[in-house]
Amino acid sequence: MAETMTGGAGWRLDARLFWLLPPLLAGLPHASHFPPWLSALCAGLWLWRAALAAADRPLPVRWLRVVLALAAVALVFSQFGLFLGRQAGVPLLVLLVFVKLLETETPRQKRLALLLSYFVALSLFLFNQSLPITAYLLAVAWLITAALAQLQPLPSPDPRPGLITAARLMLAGLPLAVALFLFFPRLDRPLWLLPSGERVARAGLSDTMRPGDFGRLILSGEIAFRASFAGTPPDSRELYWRGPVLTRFDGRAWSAPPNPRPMGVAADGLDAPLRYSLTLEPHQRAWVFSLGLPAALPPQTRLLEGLQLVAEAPITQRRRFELTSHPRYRLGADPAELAEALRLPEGYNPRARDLAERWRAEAGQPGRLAERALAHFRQAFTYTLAPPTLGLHSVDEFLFDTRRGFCEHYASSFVFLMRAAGIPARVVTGYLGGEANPIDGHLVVRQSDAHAWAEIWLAEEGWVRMDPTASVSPLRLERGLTAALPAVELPAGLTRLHAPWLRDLRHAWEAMNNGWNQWVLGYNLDRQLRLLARLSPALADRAWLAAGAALLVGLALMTLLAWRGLPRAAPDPAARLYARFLARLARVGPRCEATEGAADFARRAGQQRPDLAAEIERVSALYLRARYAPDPAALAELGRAVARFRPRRGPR
Amino acid sequence: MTDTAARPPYDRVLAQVDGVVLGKSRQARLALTCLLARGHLLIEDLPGVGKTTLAHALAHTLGLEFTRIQFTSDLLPGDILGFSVYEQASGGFRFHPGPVFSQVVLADEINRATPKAQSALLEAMEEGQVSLEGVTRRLPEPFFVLATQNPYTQAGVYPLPESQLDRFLMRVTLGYPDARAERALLAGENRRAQTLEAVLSAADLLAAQGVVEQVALAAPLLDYLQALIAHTRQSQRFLHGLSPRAGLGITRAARAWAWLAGRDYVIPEDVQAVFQAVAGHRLQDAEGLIGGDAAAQSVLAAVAIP
Repeated sequence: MAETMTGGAGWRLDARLFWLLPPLLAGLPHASHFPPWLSALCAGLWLWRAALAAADRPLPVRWLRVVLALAAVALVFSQFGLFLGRQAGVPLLVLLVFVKLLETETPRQKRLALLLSYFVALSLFLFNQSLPITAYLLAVAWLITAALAQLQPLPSPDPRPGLITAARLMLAGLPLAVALFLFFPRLDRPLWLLPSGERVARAGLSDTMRPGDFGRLILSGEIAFRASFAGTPPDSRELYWRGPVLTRFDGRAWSAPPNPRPMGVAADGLDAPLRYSLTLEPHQRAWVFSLGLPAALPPQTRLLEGLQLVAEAPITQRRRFELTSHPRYRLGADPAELAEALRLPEGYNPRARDLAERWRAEAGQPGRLAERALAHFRQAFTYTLAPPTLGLHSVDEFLFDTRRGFCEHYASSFVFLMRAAGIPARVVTGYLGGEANPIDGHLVVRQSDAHAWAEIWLAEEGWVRMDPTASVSPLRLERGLTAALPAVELPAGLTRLHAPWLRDLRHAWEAMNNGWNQWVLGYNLDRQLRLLARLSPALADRAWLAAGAALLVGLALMTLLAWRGLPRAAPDPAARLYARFLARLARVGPRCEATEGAADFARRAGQQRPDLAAEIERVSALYLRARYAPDPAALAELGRAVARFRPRRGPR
Repeated sequence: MTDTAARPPYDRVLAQVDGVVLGKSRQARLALTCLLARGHLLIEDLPGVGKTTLAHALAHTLGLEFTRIQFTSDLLPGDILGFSVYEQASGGFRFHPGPVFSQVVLADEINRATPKAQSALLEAMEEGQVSLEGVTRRLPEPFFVLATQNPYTQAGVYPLPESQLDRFLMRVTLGYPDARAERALLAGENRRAQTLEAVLSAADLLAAQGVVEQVALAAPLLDYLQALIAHTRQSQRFLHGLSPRAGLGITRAARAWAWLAGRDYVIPEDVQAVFQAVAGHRLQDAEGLIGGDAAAQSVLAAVAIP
């Protein structure tokens, strides 16, 4: 028989290999986080087993399989250490399943291997819960179920009916799955805690700004967060998403104070608050990028000095925040804060200091001075992502020699000039703008929207935002990075987005992913309670009750479906009695095959257990009469005979 | 599917046949079952394995009249059915019945004759009567045709088309005798079938045929039967599934088998016992890899008893 293709009769899955397919497909995506040697090892084991199956060759001898299993455990232990957590546990599981294939031959063993494949597939969710992976794993689950169906009740030569059976089973289970998803009580923390020592370094903001940091960040198209506004979203030029506020300068890098204090100064909103929600991608930091002054703090967040909204713990998984902010506000300052905002390291950038001194003498008033500085930037500076490297006096070199750079250069030199001129100033980092997805209306903010700007202290106005980058390149603010840069400087990944169809495709894809994140992954205790409250206010605080009810309804629905879908009526009483008799007999030895008639089985079982032969013969004869004659007297007699039938384990 | 003792006096019938056709008790029992089920039997095998002897032995033991038609390529329908001859003495035509007017007809090597001659016999089998020159004549009862056929691979044969194969309730193959039977045969212990004494009469057999039809067929057994038939239709392995006629044939044969075993109800084993003989010549493997008998066995092995 051909492996996969035969002429004439069309394609045909080989039944001997079909059961091997699901474990492979379930294990395949693990290759993305496995070290290459492990993936290669699993693939090798699988190929070995498949070759044996295709050639109808016997399995390797027992001691070899034992050695392989022990070696697998040892290997995983030596490479990953203790089997705690997913980092070592999942490789161990997957590797052992693949070793298991080498001792899998009978239908029962195949069923076991297939059941284990469900776990292999499930364990992938510990690493990735995205929409494509979920769709893939659904397909894998379908295949596993089909392979299981193919083995029932007898291995069938044709796997295709199994595929149909599996699809029907999954559809029948769908109502229950949905009910459980919606109503099964959510915990407000994960059921088990994943060890968190292995956080992946991702592109994102940090609490220091070294030269070049932003340049790298801006090249990343990764999504930082999504926002959706309750009303019409404000102009994207006004969307300054606040991140860490950098107040310390060591001559080269800007940094945030190591232990920022809680905000202790007065702040007043100046306009109507804006309501919006943020869905942050995990960035391993606590920052919640809010707009302006938060009118109310969402649960589990606090406000730090410099108007930084932070969560209580680092954001290690996608998280949603409901926020209200005043875009315009008046923010006070305390003396310590102001003193810090004037500090400059000695011995750096003498020319910039001179310039600032001169401006102070000329302009006098701080507001005018800031205007003057912005005007200076407007003259002869160029926005570019490929600035020349700067030496020791970085601000000097940038201001007077190179005059080429991007937001970090402008923000840092502006703040330097302000401080040198005696005006308290600080660098604020975060994101600027974002791209509205026309499909679901969400605003997508990417790492390439990362931005740094400045804030200066004016006695009569409080902290005032100043964005020197806007003076140099207004386009950066209006139309985003791609418009601000000359085409040659655009990174390849960003240029391609100009093709309109690709842009649409990407929007559609991101909207779908966002829906998945919002409604499936982001379905938490809070949302569940809200849903329950909407269904019935009485249910809201009795989630368990609702879950129980939903579970019962789901089970009832499934039973109904299964019952209606059964091809034949429930077995008659004679068949039930006989099944009980067979079960008792099977415990002590003889086992009836599905295709074996009662009389044939009685004869065979009698040979196997001569001590029970007479009794087996009698029960079988009664069963045959009761079921096929059909004889009610025999049925009654069968009931008594089966009730009395308590076979003991035989001598052999 | 082991054979149990047969209901008397058929146990003696089988014992006698067994004494002549050595080591073929299962085929003999199937042949008797076929007869009890009012069906016709096709025996397919190489020349010289005892096909004719089996037919002889069965006919003699059951006390039935017996004719034999040797099919050859020049056989004409008249040679089977008979013909009318003008008689001067009476001044009219007189019908001379052909060899088909007999209770047991052995159609030897049926596939050596032309399709025309074949169909003359097969029509008689189906109708139970012969229509010739505007006159319909009933065939005797019981009427049992036992045809033998050479394997197709041999030269000079006209294979029976599927529609005509369908006229036979069962097809069995004899195969070579096993070592012990062959030794007895070679040692000359074989007896001539003609010397056998009749155990039964035609009237007994007709009565038995009537009783067989009363054997109970319970609903769970019909479930099993339908599952078997459905499997042949749904599986991609077969060119065609079993027809309703084939299904009816299985019930008739299973009833006869059950009755012969002394039961008045059919159990799954009865179906399994006759399934290969009844379904084997009606199933064709889609890829032509295995014969019908093996295909029938694979169906039994794939369908669970409900």
